[in-house]
Amino acid sequence: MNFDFSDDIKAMTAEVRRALERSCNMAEVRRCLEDGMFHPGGLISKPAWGVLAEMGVTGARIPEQWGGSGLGMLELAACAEEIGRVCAPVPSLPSVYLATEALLHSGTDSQRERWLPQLARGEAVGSMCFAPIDADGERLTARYAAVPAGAVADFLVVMSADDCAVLIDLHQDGVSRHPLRVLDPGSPMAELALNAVRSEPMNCPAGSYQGIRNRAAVLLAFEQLGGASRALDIARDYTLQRKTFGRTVASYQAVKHLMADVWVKNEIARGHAYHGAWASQTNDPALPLAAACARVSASEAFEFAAREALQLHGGIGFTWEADIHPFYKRSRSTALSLGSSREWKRRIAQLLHRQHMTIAHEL
Amino acid sequence: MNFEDSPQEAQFRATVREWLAANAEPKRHPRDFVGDGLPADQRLAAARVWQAKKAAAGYAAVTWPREFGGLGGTPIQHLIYLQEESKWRSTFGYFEIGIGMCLPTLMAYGNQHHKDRYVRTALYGEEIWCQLFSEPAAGSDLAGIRMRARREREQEGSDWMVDGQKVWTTGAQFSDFGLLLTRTDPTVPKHAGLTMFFVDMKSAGIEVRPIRQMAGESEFNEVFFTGVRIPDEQRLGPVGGGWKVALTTLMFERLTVGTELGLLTAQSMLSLLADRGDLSDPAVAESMADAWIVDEGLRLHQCRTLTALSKGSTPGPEQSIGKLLKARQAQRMSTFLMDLAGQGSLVVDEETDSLWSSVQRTWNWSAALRIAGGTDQILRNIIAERVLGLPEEIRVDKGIPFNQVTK
Repeated sequence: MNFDFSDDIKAMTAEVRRALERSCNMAEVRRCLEDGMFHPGGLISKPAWGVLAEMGVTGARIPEQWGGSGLGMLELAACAEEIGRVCAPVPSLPSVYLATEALLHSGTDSQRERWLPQLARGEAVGSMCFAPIDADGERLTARYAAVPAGAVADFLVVMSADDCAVLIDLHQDGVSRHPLRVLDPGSPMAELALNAVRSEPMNCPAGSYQGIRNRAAVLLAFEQLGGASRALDIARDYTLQRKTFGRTVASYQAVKHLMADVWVKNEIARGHAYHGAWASQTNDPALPLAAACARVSASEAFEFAAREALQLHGGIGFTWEADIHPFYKRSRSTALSLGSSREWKRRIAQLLHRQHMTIAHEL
Repeated sequence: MNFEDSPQEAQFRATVREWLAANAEPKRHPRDFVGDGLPADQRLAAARVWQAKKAAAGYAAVTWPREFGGLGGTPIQHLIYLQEESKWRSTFGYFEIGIGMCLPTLMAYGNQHHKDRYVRTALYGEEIWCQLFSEPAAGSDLAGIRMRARREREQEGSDWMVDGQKVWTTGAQFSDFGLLLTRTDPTVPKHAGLTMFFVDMKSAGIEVRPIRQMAGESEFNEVFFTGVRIPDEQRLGPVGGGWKVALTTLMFERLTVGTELGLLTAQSMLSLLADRGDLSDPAVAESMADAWIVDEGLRLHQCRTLTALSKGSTPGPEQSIGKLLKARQAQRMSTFLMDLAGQGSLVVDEETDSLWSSVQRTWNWSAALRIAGGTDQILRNIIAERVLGLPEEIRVDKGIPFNQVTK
């Protein structure tokens, strides 16, 4: 039994953490959020994105021949937790966990050649939509209502549930972008209207659609886990320092028990996230169920941690100056990317049912 | 990252499997124990036979040093043994407390004579031990016990006379010895006035009365002490040092990682729901997923604990998570399943190994398990204080002599 990250991975993430804490402190996060609120769409924390590129995180899974680090899912998962810890306003989900993975698994040689080196260097941003593809030859006309990082993305992968995918270079005529005002400006979205744009088919093996969603769910779970443990840290620090009725706020049992419950949910989510990372790395048949459990438990843990951490701040928690609102916002936006917990829970039940019937059949 | 046994672990597991296959009886259903169906005394006799077999092979106390009859093994090996044993008929409810908690305390605080006289007999199931800690007025607040021990004569080495009442004592009715926490000095603050003894349960003045529990069964006891004489030789640790000894006992309780509570699992919930064809209902599907996430999440948490153990750390307060989640989850699951089945689920299922009887047993026992061995509230305090480092509860009796605390 060795259900933990290796010392090498821990050393690597410790460095990523230090670098992110320097480049993406809460002042930087607030600055980005403020920017995003008044100038919707265009936002990325350049210092944070730069650190992630420099430390090989944007290209973690990209083979060295295309300028990446050639690392595994475990390494990327461990780094994702650090991205979540600082609530970094960066397009990690659309670009690193989705578009890059799609290219790695389903890209043609020329598509890889073209995009992977830029992705590894953090110079290009990709995004991805899950939608039916209705292309007329190589020309695609479509409207995507809310594309993550849609205002800044250089290319878009559209994948349908029947494992078809196309890649669209977003720097061409016929592409119009409308940045949207969103509840979490740290995860910006834009409406994309494509008018007879050139779309390049990709090579999707069967199972690509669910496979990529499973792996992205695991990686996002690590971000959520990072956010959840940071939210608990923030709540703990604040209530330890704040006094009311002549006592430290953290000394009230109602407050202690709430934080204990947050810790419990975080621990459960951590086990599932590790399991998901292991199953992604080894491509174990347990992946679909492990990914769904990681997704649901991390979404719920992060939302609970952020919501209750805000509550424990009292009135100050509702102000722009407090550090907790970016986490509250991120916990909501990450819970809805890739589909809500409701959808994933039904998937868990389906997978369990299928598993049960198979076992019953074998007996 | 992997879930496989290390080569040493795999080898140990293979040895255990081989031994069990040669010595144990196959299990007919999940709650099938040695001596099932026999009258209580014959059942106990059968359990002793199995215990002696285990002891002779070293499996009765895997982590004990070899000089005490153990294997000198690691906590992981202990768990591997338990995992393998759970596939066979074994015993439950006779020896766990003695071997898991009382005897390790005796080994830590007893003298050579104690170790020679009591350890082996307990290991082989010849003598059974119970733990006499909780009292009617002291459960969560264990240091508030009132059972009074006085020296018979005011001199060093004099016998002690003990009066008072213990409660929730598992196995007192068939125990030979008990680990007994007493108050020897009520004029000092509560933790300072305690002293630990062990007592012969056949002593004059001890009366064991079964407690009738909520569900009508009797598994625990009240134990009344009236002028019970205990030789000073049976004192463990110094006079007034009982709290430290008790903490040692409770620490050993924590080492029993992975002990099954015998409640309904998410897996059995799945069987029930699949058989009923309810899983297509989205609300049912979501509850199924919630239950699965908790059960599977605890299994994975345990995998992380074992990983930490195998790297040499000791089980810490993080272990509180197991019972805290499991007991509440069991209560929720059983209630949910009964809701689905409707009023008919209130009719007691007489088939004791059926899934429905397990739902009903879980509904009853989950209420107890949220209290026993640390209430949900105490466990949250432990997590808050010892894991998260939050301030300790304000103790209004702190520093006040025990006999001056308002009761």
